[in-house]
Amino acid sequence: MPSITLTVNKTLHQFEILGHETLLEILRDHLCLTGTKTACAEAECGACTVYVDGRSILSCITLAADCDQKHVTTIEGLTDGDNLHPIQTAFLEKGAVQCGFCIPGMIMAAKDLLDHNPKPTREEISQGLNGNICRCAGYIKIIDAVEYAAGLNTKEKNETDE
Amino acid sequence: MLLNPFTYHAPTEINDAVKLFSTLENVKICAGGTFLINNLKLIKKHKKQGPTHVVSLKKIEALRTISFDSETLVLGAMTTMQEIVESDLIHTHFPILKLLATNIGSTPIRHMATIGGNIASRYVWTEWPTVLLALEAKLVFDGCQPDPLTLSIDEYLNKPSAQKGLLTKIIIKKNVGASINYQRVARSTTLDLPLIGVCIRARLENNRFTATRVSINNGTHAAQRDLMLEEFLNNHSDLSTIAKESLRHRDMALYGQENQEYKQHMFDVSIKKAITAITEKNGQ
Repeated sequence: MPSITLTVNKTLHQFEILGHETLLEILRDHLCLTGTKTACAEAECGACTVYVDGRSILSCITLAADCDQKHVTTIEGLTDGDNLHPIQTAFLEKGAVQCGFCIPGMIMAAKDLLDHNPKPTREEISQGLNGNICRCAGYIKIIDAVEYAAGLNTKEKNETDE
Repeated sequence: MLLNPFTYHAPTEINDAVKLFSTLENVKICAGGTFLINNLKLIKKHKKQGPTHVVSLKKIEALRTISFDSETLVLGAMTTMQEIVESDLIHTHFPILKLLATNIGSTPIRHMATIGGNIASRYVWTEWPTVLLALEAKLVFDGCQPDPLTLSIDEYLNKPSAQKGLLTKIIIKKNVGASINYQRVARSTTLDLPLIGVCIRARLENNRFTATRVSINNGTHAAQRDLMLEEFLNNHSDLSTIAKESLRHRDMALYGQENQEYKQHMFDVSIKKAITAITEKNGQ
């Protein structure tokens, strides 16, 4: 039984796991971090997107044992205490959430996009989120929210610089 | 649990991975995992017997390298699609590979999927073999006789069951002066797998195609070269008619025998576009 060390949302954890357990199962079943969703579980929908060492990956097709010694960030780790991440704020303010099931994955994918392209066009946002499926088909509002979040990010950065 | 139980192995050296792969029974290699883990889920879903052992290559740093020595690109088999997208070396010397990697999946998939996994999985719809065929790539396998064994990608694709070693490197020699064009047709521009792929690489000398390689992916068989079309392109002297004329010199056996008018039409369009792009580039 592999023993792994994972830093999840800045907290160090040690686990005795089974070799065939996925990262998704560790996050949801061992740590009760249920913001990361099990949806298709076939790498099609993006609802299980998390960050591992600063890169977005799909936790449903990632073996937990492969993440030994790595840093994992889930949707729960984006907040700073009681303060939402600007992308989370943008989704709320723009009403981008319908049933909400896809939103954690959407926000993680949006974070990856904005981390590498702070001012994307709508086309680039659409491309950046192409691995995330919204079963309510609320894509227009979601793209609006990411576009708005890019503005919030820029504003926040400018204020920090000042 | 999403997967059936197996024993997990995570070697840190290539030799250890080769040893595990060659000595364990009922073993699967896990590169990026984007194909394998999904397949293992299907195996569980259908109540079938999965592998007893899975050897993950993720901790072998030596497989994750990109190097270029003025004429030859060497990609470690565990190089991810995103690393290819972001590599300045590849952008400078083999922009076609960057384009190809960009086409694959979504960002999280590109962070996980590897070039070695793409080739070694042998799925007929994967796009890398089509382009690597046109580029005359060579594949290096460790754990074979001789060790290492170097195969052209043509040999590899034509001997589907012969290979037992571990794919460790992909070697691509730069063909100075050659142009390459890759056309893919998918139902959408994002996640859909391509219905067809056509890649043509050629050098134009005195308004003639030379050293031409044509590879096609018809979606139902591994990527193949169209030798008839290559011969035609190398011997036709009129660039103004070559794209149109080429359609009469295809090896039709390679393009699918079924009554698929749309697919055949898109092959015609793709071949013409690829040839036209190469001839126009020559004119610039």
